[in-house]
Amino acid sequence: MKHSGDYLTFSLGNLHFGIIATDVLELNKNLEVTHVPKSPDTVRGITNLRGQLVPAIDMYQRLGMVNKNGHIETIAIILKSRAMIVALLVDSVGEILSLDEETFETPPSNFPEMSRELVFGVHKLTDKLLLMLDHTKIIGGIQASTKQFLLN
Amino acid sequence: MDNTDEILVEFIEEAKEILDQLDLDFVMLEAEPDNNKLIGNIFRGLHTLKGSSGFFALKRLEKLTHAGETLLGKVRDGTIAINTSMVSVLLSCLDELRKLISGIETNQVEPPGDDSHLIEQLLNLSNGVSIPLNSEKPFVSEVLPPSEKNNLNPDIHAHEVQNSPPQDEVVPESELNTNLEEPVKSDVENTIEAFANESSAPVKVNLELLDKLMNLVSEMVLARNRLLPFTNEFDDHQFSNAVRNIDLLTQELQERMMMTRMQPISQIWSKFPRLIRDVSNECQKKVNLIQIGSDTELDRTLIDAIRDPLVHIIRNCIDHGIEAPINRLSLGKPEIGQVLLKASHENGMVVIEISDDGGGINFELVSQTAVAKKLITSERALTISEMQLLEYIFLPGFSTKSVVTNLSGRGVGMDVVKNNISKIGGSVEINSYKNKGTNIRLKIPLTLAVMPALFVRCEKERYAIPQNSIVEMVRIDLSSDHTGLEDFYGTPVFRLRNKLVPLLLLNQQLHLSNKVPDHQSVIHIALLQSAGIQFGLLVDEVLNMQEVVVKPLGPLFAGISDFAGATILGDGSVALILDTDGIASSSGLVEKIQAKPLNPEIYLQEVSDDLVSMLVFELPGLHYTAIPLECVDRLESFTIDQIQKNGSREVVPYGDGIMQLIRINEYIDGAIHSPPSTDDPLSVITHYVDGVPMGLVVGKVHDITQVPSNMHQINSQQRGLKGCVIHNGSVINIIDIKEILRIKKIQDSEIMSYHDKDQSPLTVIDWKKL
Repeated sequence: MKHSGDYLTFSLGNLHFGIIATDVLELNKNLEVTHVPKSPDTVRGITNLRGQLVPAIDMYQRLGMVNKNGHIETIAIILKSRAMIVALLVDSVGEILSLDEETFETPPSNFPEMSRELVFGVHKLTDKLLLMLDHTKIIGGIQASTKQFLLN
Repeated sequence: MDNTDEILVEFIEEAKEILDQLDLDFVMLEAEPDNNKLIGNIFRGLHTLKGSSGFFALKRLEKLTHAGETLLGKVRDGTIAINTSMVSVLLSCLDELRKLISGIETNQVEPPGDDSHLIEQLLNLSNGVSIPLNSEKPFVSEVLPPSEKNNLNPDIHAHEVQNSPPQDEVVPESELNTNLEEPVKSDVENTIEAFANESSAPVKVNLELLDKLMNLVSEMVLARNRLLPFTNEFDDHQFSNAVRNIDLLTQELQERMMMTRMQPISQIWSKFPRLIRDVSNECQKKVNLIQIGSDTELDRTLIDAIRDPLVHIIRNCIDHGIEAPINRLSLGKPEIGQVLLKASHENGMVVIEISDDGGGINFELVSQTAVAKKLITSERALTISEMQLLEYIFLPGFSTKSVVTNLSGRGVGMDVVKNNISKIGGSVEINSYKNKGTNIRLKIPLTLAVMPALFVRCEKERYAIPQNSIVEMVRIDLSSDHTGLEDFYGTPVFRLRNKLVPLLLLNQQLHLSNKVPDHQSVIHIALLQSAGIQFGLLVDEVLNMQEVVVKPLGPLFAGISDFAGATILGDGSVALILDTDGIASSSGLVEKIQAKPLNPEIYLQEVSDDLVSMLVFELPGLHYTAIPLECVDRLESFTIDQIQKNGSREVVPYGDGIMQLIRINEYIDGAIHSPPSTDDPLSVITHYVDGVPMGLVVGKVHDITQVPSNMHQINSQQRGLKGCVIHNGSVINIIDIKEILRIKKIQDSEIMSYHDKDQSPLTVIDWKKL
């Protein structure tokens, strides 16, 4: 995977993440999410994006993080991943950064396993560390876990 | 190569269209062998095929079409006359062509095979050698054994490589067309016609694009709905006008968009003349097909769903229904039987009628078969009605034919019909008269995209239940019900008209909560018929009925069988649609019920023999009052504003005429003659006396109950009551509608004589109003 390019930054709690900007379709505030019973925890529910039903992903759950401040994420990143449109629920969205190879580092080996699967690297910026997410893995993982979930 | 692929795909599409048309033309040609225009059409079709197959180096196709063309050329010139055996050969030639085309479609190369026999027949025919009709079998070419196949394949490949034309050699379409039209130049009229059609010819649009457009339009409608209220808030005339304009445009856009999903039913009907011809030839019967309303449109997804049922029904019509020509003549019927296909729109449904003028359903045979298959006892068979017998026809594996033939006897047909039709929310109705024929009516919704659904609430969410699986809604007050919820081998059940019905708790089924209703609460149950069982679904609240657009949930939720999809409501929020089949099977209820049936058969008979259906309602002062259901035509509700006066009588407009209202509490002993409150709407039971409607004003209407037919008569009879029955421990008074009407008549005549003194409180209220 290329480690340079334009990335959209967002935050969950006190962590900052980056996701490749070219696949992001739009940002949406205050989406109304309808809970789908029996779906895995990582999926908050479905939402209506101008007539299209879009699954809303609970990013705290997906990254195995605890939502400490307890408030509901305010903004959704709508992106197209593997020909499917999904909404990632996050706390806030930052700017779009042009990053190059210089600041990139592979994730340290003491990273928890779950995160290592989704985070393919870190960009060291002057003021923060940006965890780089592979969105295809975010979605792919859920599909696998849905199957697992239903088997149980 | 890409380019050739594309052209090949186009060719296959075109070839299919031509073959479909040829099917029709040949059958028509058989009926009118002298129709030169028709022969011209067929000739042209075959020639187009031949031309294109030469272009793609499809040798088999080319040879076969060429042979067919030769024969038709002779027919066109009038050298030989067309006859049935000739049409049969030509039709089998068509079948072979179709096989070739589908082979090409899947493998891009012609399937190997040998058509020399068929070609020989065609050429023989064109040389005036006639062949016997029933030797159709040999025409079907046999697939060569693998060894030969291998020999053949390289050959084909070689041809393809040789002939796959370089880019610049591709003949422009216009040129191609002129080439193809060459041999038909004599038929100038047709060419002009074809040319004129070209300008308005349909264009092929990607299905995905259509669906996307559809989506956008429904979104547009929602956006418009949100915009509309603003016109009331602002007093800006220009703004209102602009919004009104958008409103109208959106509406039209939506209507037009819906039309793109609609396809005329002739799409499948056009295959039937051929089907009828083949089946009737095989049965050695003579059958005419009449089609009415072939331009009736329905949703394209439904068109596919009704194809199989229609084929089965038509086969049945010919095989079972229409008699052999000799029998028909001896019965005084015309020799040629008739199958009528009729499609029309009725109340937002599409009705397809298939009728034949054959012998009708042999009910004796059906009941004998039912007895033989141990579905009913022989005693029951004597009393069972024809209507009930019809139900057995739909059972899988039920066939009255003793011999399994090509056409029928497996007992699959009507089962398929019923299943497929009910799957798309339709219904099947059969009427049959001995020696007159059978009439089958299929009622099908216009579209699957929009379906009526009932919204219910469970915990905090709204869910939609498709209406076609809802039998009825039941409300049970557990504090007054004597039995309440019971337990049957671990399954909660409730009693409905003395029948046990298993119950599923929606909140538990969806893992929302573990709450169970307490003994004092009022519960709401949707009685569902799904996956072959009837069960109740306990919900928290019943909301409204609404048409919904079904949208798939997408792959992330693919494994959850409880939902059929979701819908977007008018306010933009999303509601999930329950999949009743999925719920029934995923809950394990289906297995449980099949293992331990709740209601043994014996009980059912009791219901039909000794019980009568009564409509139970309240009257002021009398809690449970009932009227035999057969006296009830409809239930209506009127507001006090709708009630008008005709002299001293209260009347309401009803249908085209007016209906007199009778406050029956005034004629029944024990009921309180209280003046009615003016606010609540009146519940009215309509009852017809000699074709004249009477409105019986009652209190709250409860339910339909099965009560024993023998009533308790209390010695001094109560006025207006026939007697009473005990049901679930309470006394239900059964009103005597005849007596009530008699008393009413007497009083009416008294009132007429004391016209001025009429002081009933009712009148006073109404005077104020007037």
